[in-house]
Amino acid sequence: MKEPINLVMDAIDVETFLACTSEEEARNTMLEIMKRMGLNEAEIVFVETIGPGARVRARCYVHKPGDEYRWLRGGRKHG
Amino acid sequence: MRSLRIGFAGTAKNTGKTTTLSALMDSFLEDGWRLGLTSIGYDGENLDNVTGLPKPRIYVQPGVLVATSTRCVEASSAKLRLVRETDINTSLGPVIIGKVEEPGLVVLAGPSYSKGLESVLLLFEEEGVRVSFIDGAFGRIAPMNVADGLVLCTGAARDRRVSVIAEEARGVERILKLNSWSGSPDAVLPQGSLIGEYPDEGLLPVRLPPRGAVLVEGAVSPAALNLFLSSHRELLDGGTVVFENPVSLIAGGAAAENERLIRQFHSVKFCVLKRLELFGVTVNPFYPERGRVEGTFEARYIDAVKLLDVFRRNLETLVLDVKREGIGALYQQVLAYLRNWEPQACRQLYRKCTS
Amino acid sequence: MVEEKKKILLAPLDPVHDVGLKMIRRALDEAGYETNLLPPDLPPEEIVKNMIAYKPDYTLIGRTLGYDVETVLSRLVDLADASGLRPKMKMVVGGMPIKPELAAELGFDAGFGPGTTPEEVVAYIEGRLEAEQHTKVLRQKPKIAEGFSYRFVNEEIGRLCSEIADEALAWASERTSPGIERSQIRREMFSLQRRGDSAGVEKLRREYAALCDSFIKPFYDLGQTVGKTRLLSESELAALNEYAAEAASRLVPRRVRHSKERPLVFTQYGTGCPFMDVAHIKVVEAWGADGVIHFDPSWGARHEGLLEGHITHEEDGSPITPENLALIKHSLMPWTLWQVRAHRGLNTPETVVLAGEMKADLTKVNMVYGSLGAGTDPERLVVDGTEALRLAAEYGLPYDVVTNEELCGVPAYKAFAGMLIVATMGIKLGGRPILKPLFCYSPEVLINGQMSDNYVDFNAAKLMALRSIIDAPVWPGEPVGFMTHTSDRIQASATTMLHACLASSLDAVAVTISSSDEAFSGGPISAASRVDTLRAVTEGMRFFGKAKIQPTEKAEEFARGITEGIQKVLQQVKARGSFVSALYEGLLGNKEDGVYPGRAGRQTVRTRST
Repeated sequence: MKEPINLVMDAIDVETFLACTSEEEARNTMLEIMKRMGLNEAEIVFVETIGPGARVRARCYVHKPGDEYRWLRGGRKHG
Repeated sequence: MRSLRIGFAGTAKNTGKTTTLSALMDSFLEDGWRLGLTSIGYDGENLDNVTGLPKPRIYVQPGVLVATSTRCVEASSAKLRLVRETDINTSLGPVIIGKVEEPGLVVLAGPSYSKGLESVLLLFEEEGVRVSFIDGAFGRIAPMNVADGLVLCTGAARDRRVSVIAEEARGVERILKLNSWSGSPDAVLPQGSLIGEYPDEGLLPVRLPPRGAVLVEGAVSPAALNLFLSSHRELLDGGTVVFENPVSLIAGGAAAENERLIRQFHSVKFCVLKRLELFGVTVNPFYPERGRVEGTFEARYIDAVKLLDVFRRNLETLVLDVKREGIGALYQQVLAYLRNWEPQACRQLYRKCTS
Repeated sequence: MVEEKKKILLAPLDPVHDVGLKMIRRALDEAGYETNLLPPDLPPEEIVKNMIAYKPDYTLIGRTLGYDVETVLSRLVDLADASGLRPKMKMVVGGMPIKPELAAELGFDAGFGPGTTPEEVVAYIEGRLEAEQHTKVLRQKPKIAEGFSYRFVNEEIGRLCSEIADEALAWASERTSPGIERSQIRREMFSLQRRGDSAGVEKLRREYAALCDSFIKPFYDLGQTVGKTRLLSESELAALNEYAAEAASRLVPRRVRHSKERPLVFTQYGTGCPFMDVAHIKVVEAWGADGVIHFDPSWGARHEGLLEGHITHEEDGSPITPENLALIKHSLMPWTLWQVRAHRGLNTPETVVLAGEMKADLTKVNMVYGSLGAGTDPERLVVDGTEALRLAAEYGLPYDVVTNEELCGVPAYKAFAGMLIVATMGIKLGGRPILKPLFCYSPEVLINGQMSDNYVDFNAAKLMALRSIIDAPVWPGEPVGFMTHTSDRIQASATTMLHACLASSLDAVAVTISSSDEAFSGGPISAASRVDTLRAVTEGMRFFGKAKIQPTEKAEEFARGITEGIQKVLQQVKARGSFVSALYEGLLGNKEDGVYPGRAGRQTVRTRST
């Protein structure tokens, strides 16, 4: 069976609202969530913390330009 | 010289149409016949379930002429050399005729209507093709009226109840076995007279000579045919109703009901202007069952022995399970037809192949 | 002989929905066809009866998806064939997501997907498109720079531009550069290649290499890779072509524009990897983009010479080579417009040659921005740019003249003066320039407050000013809403959409939009972010349709200010008597504005030997 994550064309973005008190907490929490989902090299694309918490979006690149794109049929190598 | 034109009609997907067609082609090829291959539409069965992409299915050998649309040529792994261009268009591009140079799989999408199919077959014949293979498309049969005969492919994928599919095949068989008729009809019902719920009263004949013949043009709907036959029972008693071809009674999914009417009105003789031979019926015990995981299918089989037995008891035509029994009997059946149909050419080729 | 009207039968094979067919009928009636709309939901047999009686040239079946729809449709086609109708009548199905494969399987001549406009159906009936194309939703490649007279409405500004342009053209005509010589060699190489003279090509390649700088030269002399690039392998190329063909075969594009034919919507690509570029191009094509713009690496402008071969680059920007461009071109849908930018560096004329030879639809030239904002020596770029304008005219390539120096801080009026001079030079050389002012939150407005209340007035004023000066196409760039984007994708999509709708309201010919992650600097643009803004713009276009956005009275005031400013700058340039000197001396943007003359290619211009 195909590995599901291989079908991600480039990046996985995860967006949510965190009940937290500071931007720093939001960033760290979000990165921790990503890590626990197996998305280790995540970055914060956007965070906005007001009152009740933070709207936050993290991104993990699965395929960057020049990588081997595993969404190709047959999983051929290429640049 | 005209080729023998064999159509392959499947009653549903997964009934083994492609297997039958490929096996029969191989038999002819081994004996050195020059073959042509086309279809009356894209075979939707050939979609890769995961990706939704065309998946080439029919393996072709060098020398075979193939008529398909340009987009399908690109998707084929067989190497084709362009022989003729045609002015027939499909939604997958214009139809071209190519000669297989290197063997491989081809995706077929030929002309989707009778007239277009006829012109492709004529081009085949100009290029020396002796046997033309016409792959069917799901739900349609009308273009097959330009063929000489049919191979009907059915099986558990159509319905798991053997009696149901055997009865259906029997209906098609009876329609295809209607006698041919020639002469000049006493009345003609033009196209459209017997389509729909009611016969077109304005076009019905006022009077028929005793034992006269009525020619019905075009397709026929069971409802209109029923009303026409019942309301003119006396007039038609002992007379003949002539249809253009068997396809007129089968098109639009009307085979079973039309056949029932033909049996019911036994005091009327039913004929066709142009016959279509039934070379054989192939049966396939396989059916796909939806798997527990969404989008997956598992292979299942009904009792193959019983399937063959019921069909053979109900049908007069040759019945074959190609996977179990091979294609030999069907091949011999077509050759026998060919011998009578075109004795000279056949004998020449026979000598060539046996020497 | 009077040609008989084509007859079209419309049959809604659907219990409820016949709105689509009613709209199509109206369009067909208006186009002068005879139509007959059947009541909804007749059985196939009754429709065939109507076909027999009416003898249509076309039957259009409207059907949204429903239970067993394929069986019903194939029965209908089968009955029509068995009734002898098919040779003289084409059958088309619409309203359902139909792929060409399914249309062929069911026996239809063509299928129209959801979102097809009545006009597209009319175009199909009129035979303006191949069956293959309209089955995927028929689209034609739009023309972008036609229908404009290029005449100055403001005569004084027209006179000034004309005199400045004459001076600049005369000055440039006496000069040449390594960039021009390479473009001539490259052109000759294409010509020899077409004749199959590979020895001749090889000889020219050596001459070409001699005109490259020390960064590019090792590639030709020693076969070394340059910078962070490498050659793609054969198997990679095969996989790329296969991917593009397969994606194209499944591509039934959405439509971004609603009731207007303009503005055409462009997006930019240039991930560094031609493979990812093609993947992204397929995505934006699917979500309805009309055109795509090639971005090359920033070093591409600074070095003498272009590379050859299928080359991938580890960082932003996909190298311009004949092979890379051919690869991209091959992957484009037939209706997609393609711009290859030449505007700013040391390879400007050669890039126009490549764009022309590779059958691009557009290029881009602007000597003012290139020399003040992008680091190229003004003298060199005026010489090269003039040659590029000449080549673009010769290849029939329209080009935009962009005012990116606004982003560096040059006020709009100054940047526009430069743009108008370059456009006038282009017009005089027989070209079709497109004016490309920025729709942006520029340093100028940040400081002077023209956008303190809204983003509409000053952007609208730019177009109003240009329209009061010259009858030429205007294409706000690039991407619109520059400096208003944040990395919040909702905010970025909304601001992109609103700027695009403003462009539509102002009847711009085209608009370039960004992705919703344009402001995120942590990594490459993602495909999903490209879809975000295309979807937002689609909704905006649907919302506004032909309705206008109403600027306040401030816009008129701004427009007058811009026009007066342009005139003043042009007078100064005219008085200086030399376009090139005006560039060096800051008349079109200076250090205080935030720009300075570039140094790349200094002292490489030579007087043409007679």
